[in-house]
Amino acid sequence: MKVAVPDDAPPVMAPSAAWAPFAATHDVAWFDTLPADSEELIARIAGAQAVINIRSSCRFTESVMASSPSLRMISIWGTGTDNVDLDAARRRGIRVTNTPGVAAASIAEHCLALMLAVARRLIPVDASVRRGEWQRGNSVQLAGKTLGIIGLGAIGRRFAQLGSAIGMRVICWTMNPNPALGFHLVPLDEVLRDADVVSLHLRLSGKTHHFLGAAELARMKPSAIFINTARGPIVDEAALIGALESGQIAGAGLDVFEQEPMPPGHALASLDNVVMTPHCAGITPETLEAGLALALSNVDAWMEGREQNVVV
Amino acid sequence: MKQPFRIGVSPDYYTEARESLDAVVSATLAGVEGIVVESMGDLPGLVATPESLNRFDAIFALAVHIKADSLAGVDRPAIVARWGVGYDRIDVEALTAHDVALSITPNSVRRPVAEAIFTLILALAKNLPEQDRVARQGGWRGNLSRLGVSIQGTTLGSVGCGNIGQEMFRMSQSMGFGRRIAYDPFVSQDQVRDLGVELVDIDTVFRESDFVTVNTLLNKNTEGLVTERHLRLMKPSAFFVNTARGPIVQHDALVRALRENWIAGAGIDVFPVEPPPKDDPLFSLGNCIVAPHAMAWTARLMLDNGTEAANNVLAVSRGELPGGIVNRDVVDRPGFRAKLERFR
Repeated sequence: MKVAVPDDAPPVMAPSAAWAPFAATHDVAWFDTLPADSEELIARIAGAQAVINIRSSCRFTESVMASSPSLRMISIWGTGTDNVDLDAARRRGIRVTNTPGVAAASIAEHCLALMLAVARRLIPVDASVRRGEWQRGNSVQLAGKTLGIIGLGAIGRRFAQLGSAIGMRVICWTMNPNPALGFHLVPLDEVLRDADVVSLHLRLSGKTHHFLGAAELARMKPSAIFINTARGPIVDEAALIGALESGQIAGAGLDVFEQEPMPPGHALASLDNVVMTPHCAGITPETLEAGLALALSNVDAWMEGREQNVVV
Repeated sequence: MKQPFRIGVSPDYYTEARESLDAVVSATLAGVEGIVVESMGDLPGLVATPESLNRFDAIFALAVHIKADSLAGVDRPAIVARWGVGYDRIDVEALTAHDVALSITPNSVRRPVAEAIFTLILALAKNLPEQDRVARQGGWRGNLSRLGVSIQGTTLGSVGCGNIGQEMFRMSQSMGFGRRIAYDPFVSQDQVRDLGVELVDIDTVFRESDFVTVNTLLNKNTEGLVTERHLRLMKPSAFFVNTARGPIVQHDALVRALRENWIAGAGIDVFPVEPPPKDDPLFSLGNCIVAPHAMAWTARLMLDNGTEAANNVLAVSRGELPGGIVNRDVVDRPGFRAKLERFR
């Protein structure tokens, strides 16, 4: 069986510890550039039964699937599946797997890092001291404040724990509530209204595109901090920028954007109440290795008829 | 009729913490009969003078220096109440000799400082300043000099395991750290066993920690405690965080450790002299995060500090012992007892 990796750019799979033994025992086609368009993607995966998808910019549309008759399985490295047309995959009997869980701890830590940095104004404070200033302004203490979690997947649950660790009260809203998990579940409006920090942990889908817009942001406290490490388009970014510029909310910590990389001169880049990182919350050396190994293991498991981490 | 109980406020409050002072005075002191709150007046170099001290029964001290000379002939004040926990600007022995209690506010400080330590630890681990800069400039992951690292399973270390160190370890319990180790000659293993902290020697803290934090007070024994030798023991992947006091660390050695990459980075909220000179070499280094001794300085902290300090002063105004006493040996001195007696 042939396995294609059409999009290892910049390469993460090839240098990983798990890749060499996999490549030695499988028929692999590997590419260290991004396919320029869907024609090139189709050419790269031609004849492959399994495809390992590294970059979310590489899109598996219905037409890509229709033009790849041998394709039976897509192993996504990561948890987001928005770059794969899942309905089309289901109709065509193409298995889609992902690598959940491996990055949850790192992403939750990243949320904590962003929340603390925004509250303490860490980036502008560091810049100001380097300029020779000594402005000892008041920053915000999080102990005793309320953390609102939207979405209780592995990441949301872990961030809720970290919030409790630093002394925050935690309230949650989730699509599929399970009271047995023991979290304090409240209506979404209450999360928006009561939380001093609102952190988003939903999957991007047709249902969650622009899930938070101007109306939802308007319900948040003027002192609220917004954290997004999930996917950019879950929030109406123009409305978020408006809320940050007008002081409708106090600040934001963002790892994801509607367009990635952010184009130079983007309106967010001039806001000093935002801490932004280039979509790498889940990318630490430890999670990279674990996730890449799992993406390969998902292929092997599928080949051996004992599927794991199946999305559709 | 009883004399009014006069509280002198060090003049830096009026420039550094005016709002907090006003809030504490109106919430905690304004309603108490016989309490007068007044500025100590201008103090050149922020050094208290005997005249400025002797007009008051109690002193609110922010960053004011009280030296042996400041106390020459001083017999009136019964308490110097710090807003905060450091007292390196205050000659404690001289205060005791003049029958003056020194109180600090440990209950208000431990949480915000521990939170500040984690702010720096996580910002360093996740390489936030560089990531923010790269993202703003339209760059992406490939432009980063390094990705973030996870704190899961790493070793959190502390030089000092008192009020703040213990709070840091308490908060760290469910964060996923592996080992938690500390050096503190004044704390026993029994006192910190429940926190999961292992007491070790100072070299072990530096050699084995992924994050070395400083949580000790500044005094003659801790000035210059952290030397080049200690920093050279650290792993090249490890980070150093100082939110305690600048002079505890040999600054030149820290600069070299960062410049020559003996260590991966540092979060520095405190400096040998504050404000530091504008050409402090740390300011041109990319692998450190610097802050103006204000990482823990939140609106809430100042209110809590002030309320705790005000309650310490109010206890004295009723002739009772205050909380947070540093110089416990003052308590049994007849001169101090006589002062308290006056306020009963």
